[in-house]
Amino acid sequence: MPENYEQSNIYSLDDHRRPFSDGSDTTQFEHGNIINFRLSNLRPVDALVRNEDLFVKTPLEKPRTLAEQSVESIASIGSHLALVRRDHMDKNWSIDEIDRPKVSYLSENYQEVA
Amino acid sequence: MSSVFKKALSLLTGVEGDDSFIKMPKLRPFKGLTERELIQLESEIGSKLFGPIPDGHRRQFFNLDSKTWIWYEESVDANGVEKATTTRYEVQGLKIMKAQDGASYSYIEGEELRNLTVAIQMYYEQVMQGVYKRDPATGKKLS
Repeated sequence: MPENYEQSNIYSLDDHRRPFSDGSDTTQFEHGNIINFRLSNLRPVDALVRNEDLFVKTPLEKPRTLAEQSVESIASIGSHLALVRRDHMDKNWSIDEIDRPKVSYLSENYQEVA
Repeated sequence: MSSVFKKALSLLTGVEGDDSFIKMPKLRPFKGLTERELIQLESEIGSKLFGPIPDGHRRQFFNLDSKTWIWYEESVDANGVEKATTTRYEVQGLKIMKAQDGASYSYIEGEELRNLTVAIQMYYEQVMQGVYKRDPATGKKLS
């Protein structure tokens, strides 16, 4: 341990006499005033981040009601069907490939050569 | 093949009576289907999900787009007057809005919501298998 170890760690008032960027000296403030001064110089965004860190917690997921689950199911099916339909159109699949059900309108597209 | 056409063909080709080379298979490939045609196919299944359709009635039930379902019911009364009702079910956030003939709007709940959910789940399973030949659970093509 160096001999001057304790000395080097002695609280020195001089360390706190460095001026702020505006040239003012910290010694002209009381301890509480220095803290207030520093907080008041925080940018709003800093304060916001700090507040979120301290106080905003991730909310617990609210359990879905049966009605909400039903709506989610309907929404999910609708989205999936729209995708499947689009997929068929994009690939230009024909009715023969999808094992057509017997429906009347098909006769419009079905032209026999006889 | 009509005799007139046969005669014309033999005059053009010089081959009498042999028209086998122009015969096409009965099951001629269909053209690719439009979105409207696919929806019509789906609706054929959808219309049967709610039980038998009474005589003189016409029903359609189908998925129009990712958020909209349509129920169309058409009937003719005893005096021969046609009556048609279009009901649109639209997903709005965590609710289903019901709009009838563009006039009345309400959010459905309770038994009506449960019935619609069951109908749509049946629609999905049958359309996926019957129209698109896919497994409803995985979405993969059925072999």
